[in-house]
Amino acid sequence: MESWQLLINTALLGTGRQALPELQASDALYDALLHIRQDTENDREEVLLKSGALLMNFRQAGMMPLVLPEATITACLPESKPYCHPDAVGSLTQVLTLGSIALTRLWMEHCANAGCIVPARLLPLLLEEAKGNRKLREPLMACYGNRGQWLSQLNPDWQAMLATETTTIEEDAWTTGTLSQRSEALTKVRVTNPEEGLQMLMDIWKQENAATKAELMDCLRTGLSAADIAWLQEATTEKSLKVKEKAWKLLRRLPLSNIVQTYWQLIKTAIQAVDGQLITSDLALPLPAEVYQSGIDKLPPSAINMTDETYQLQQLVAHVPCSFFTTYLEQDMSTCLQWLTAAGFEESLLTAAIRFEEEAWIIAILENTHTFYPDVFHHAPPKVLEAYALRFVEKEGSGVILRMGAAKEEWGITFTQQVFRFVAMHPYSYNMNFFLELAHLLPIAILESDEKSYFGDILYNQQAWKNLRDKLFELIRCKAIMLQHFHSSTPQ
Amino acid sequence: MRSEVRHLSNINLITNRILSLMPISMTEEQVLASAPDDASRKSGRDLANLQKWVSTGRSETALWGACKGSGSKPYQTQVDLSQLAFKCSCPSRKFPCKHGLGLLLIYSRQPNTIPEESSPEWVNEWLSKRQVTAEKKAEKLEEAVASGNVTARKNTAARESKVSEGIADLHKWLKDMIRNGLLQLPEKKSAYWDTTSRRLIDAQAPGLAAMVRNLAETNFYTEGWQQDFMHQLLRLYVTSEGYNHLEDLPETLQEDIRQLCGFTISQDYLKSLPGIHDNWLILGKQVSEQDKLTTERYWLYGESSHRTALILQFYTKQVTTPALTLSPGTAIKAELAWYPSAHPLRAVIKEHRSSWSPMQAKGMHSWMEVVQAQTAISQVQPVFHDQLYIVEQLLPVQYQGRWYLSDSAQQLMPLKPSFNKLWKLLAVTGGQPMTMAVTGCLQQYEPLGVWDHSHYQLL
Repeated sequence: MESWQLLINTALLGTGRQALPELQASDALYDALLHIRQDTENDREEVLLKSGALLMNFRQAGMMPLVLPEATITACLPESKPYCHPDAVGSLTQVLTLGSIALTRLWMEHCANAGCIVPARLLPLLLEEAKGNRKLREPLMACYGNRGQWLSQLNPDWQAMLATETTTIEEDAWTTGTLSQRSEALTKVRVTNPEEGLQMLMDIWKQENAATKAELMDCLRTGLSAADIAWLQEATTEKSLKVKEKAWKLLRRLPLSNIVQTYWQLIKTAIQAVDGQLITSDLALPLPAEVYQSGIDKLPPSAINMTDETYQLQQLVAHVPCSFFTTYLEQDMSTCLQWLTAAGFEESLLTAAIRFEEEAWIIAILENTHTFYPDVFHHAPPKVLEAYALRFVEKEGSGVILRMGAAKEEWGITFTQQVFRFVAMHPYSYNMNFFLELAHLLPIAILESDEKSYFGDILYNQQAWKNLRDKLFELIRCKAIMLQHFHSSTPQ
Repeated sequence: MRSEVRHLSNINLITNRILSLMPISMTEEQVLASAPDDASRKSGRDLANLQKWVSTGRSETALWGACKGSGSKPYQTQVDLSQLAFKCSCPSRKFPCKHGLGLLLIYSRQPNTIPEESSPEWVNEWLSKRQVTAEKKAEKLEEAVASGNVTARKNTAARESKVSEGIADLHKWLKDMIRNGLLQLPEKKSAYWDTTSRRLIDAQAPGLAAMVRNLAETNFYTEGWQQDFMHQLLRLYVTSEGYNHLEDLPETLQEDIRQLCGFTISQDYLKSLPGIHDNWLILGKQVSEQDKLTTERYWLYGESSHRTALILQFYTKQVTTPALTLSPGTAIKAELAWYPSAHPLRAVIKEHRSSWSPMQAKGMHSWMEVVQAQTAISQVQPVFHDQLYIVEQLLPVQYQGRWYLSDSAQQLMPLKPSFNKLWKLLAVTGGQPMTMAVTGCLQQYEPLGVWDHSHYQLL
């Protein structure tokens, strides 16, 4: 055993139990150790401490570098894209300081669009941010260059930011991944090849439990088509209630499915056009059992001011494409909408338009309605949506701001002014953290607009709003500088 | 001696005036590196926005501005660019405060956004006060040397006797520990260590007390604690035994042992020692905190002399402010004087001025040169701490989950487990060998920065 280790072992056990054994060493060191040992003035502890001091000095004087041929690293590939301009990098630093994920993402998108990459020294910081925030992953991967890819390979914590062969990832995830990874893999396949996705699900169907089946079935919403009807119809006979519900839910989204066609036949018995007028009559209740099994409900006992017939008819209307009515009533969309709205079916029509992605109907309904429908926001085109939101921002401000926060395009100046007006009147409901994640939506032009012109004489809590406004404007200014840097600077 | 000191003071004042005319340029990273903590860095960044300043101005030697604060009057902030000194009327005890950092950040980002004009009265007053203080210091030093008051140390006979008594107790304690075995240590309560440490404080040996506290901080639940612990224990033993045999040792080693035990040396005395004028590259700054005491370690390298130096600075947050602000990644024209030592490393800055430098340094070629240098240190100084080295062509490599720095001869040194900038190091190097500034000793090193295409990149 090496002398140093022997000395440590003796010290661990204690010289009270065992004295330090004679240490093996080369000539001069041996003589010095022997001298310590033979000095009768030294007790056991002193022999150990003095020998240790000698060995320590001997070791540190002769310390050598290590030789480990297996210790290697593969060099990163050279970058093919230029680094973005230092000014733009400066604005990224500011964005990161503000802590806005939305602006960080926007910065990355602009960087990628400019054909540039992030300077290497900032990559660890950004990869760490992206590790904790999924929204940043793809934008970062578009501008992290070979260095970012290389770092992600080295750090197991950054594997999620690794761009690898898609097929390998999906195959692995589908066979051995967690449920959410499997769902993700199946959804990806459904995007490019819906038939293959369905086949994948059919192949594993029998070996899965009900919860997994229900979860994976949800992925069929992507790329859902008439080709799925037969299999979904079969799935409605499954034992599990959860699976059955999912199957019906998907079938209700397919206009050619038997159930939607059944709904339509029932609607036709209750709604007719006679002499250029819409005539509605009561449904013949009860409806066929299959209709109730598919998810149509009877009027709850607590409901008032509505008949069961109307309640069920409204549900049926909400489950057939709006376009069926134009053919059936032999009228254009505008007239159909007018008639059906007057008959109390506006909300059902909007629900149907959203379900069957009938954009023209959504636009028409939103342009004419006097009702605020929060659920419509994800489905309407930006221009129509903003005009719609603007009509309700004063009365339904919090709902409007919340829903418009998910918008994909920057807000218009008028809408933003009205939002600020609402926020100024409710300053304690909103803080800077809320707006940090909406920074990408706030237009820079608001910095130039005169506050008085849109505030008018309204009463608001001046100090609270001013504090928030200062921070908000700093955020928007940061965005302005960032965009200016990207527009004016050339890559390095 | 008196005329020599006066002559040196005059040279310094003239040099300072000439150098003060040179404007400095700093990067944002360098400014932020001079901040006392992360909170100040964040607040400083927030204030690096002209909207928050009522007025700003700059001359060749200074920056100033009035910043809106919570009080009725704006805070008056000043930065002496020639020596990187700060002053602010805000009540913050942090130094530099967020206002000073904010103003300097604006200057580092876009100097032209701050109008160049003649400095106002309150700035002139501060600058001339600084000048007067510097002159007074030089005079005081001159007087002290002349009157013979500048002695290496006071009459410390009483203290030396107390230290010897403290060391006798320490040896009893050490021997008890060795007799009973180190395996029982993980079960010991803090009182076991605290009592000995306090006794050493009472015995006026704070250096030894700190070494005992270091032993107490051993993580007894990590693998291999025995090796590190034994090493620390033996350093304590060698130091205390060295003190017992002080008169048998060479004079410079005596100084090392005394300093390790906790004897201090007057700054005035140190500044009276002959120093080395050079362009000093500030290659890195390490900050640690223990018992509310902040220790700043600045690592310097002389461009012409190729000497290395460690500037230590201690302060208690919220109570005292650091006397010196150096910005890592920049350079200073300065004269440094070293603490007496068998292998001088710790130094004091006698005079300094900010300087522009491309930060070029001459490095060692391999780890073998580093270990040879350490063998030379071991010959004269058995107990030594981290050193600064510049080594060419170092490459971070990995083996069995551990990272090492490999030189051009494929010889390796492990990175310190506490090194927390590994990913920045890898990001900057990209798997290519680069010249690095590293601190450490024996078989543990920590990079401070790398030369990426001749540009020094602070980690």
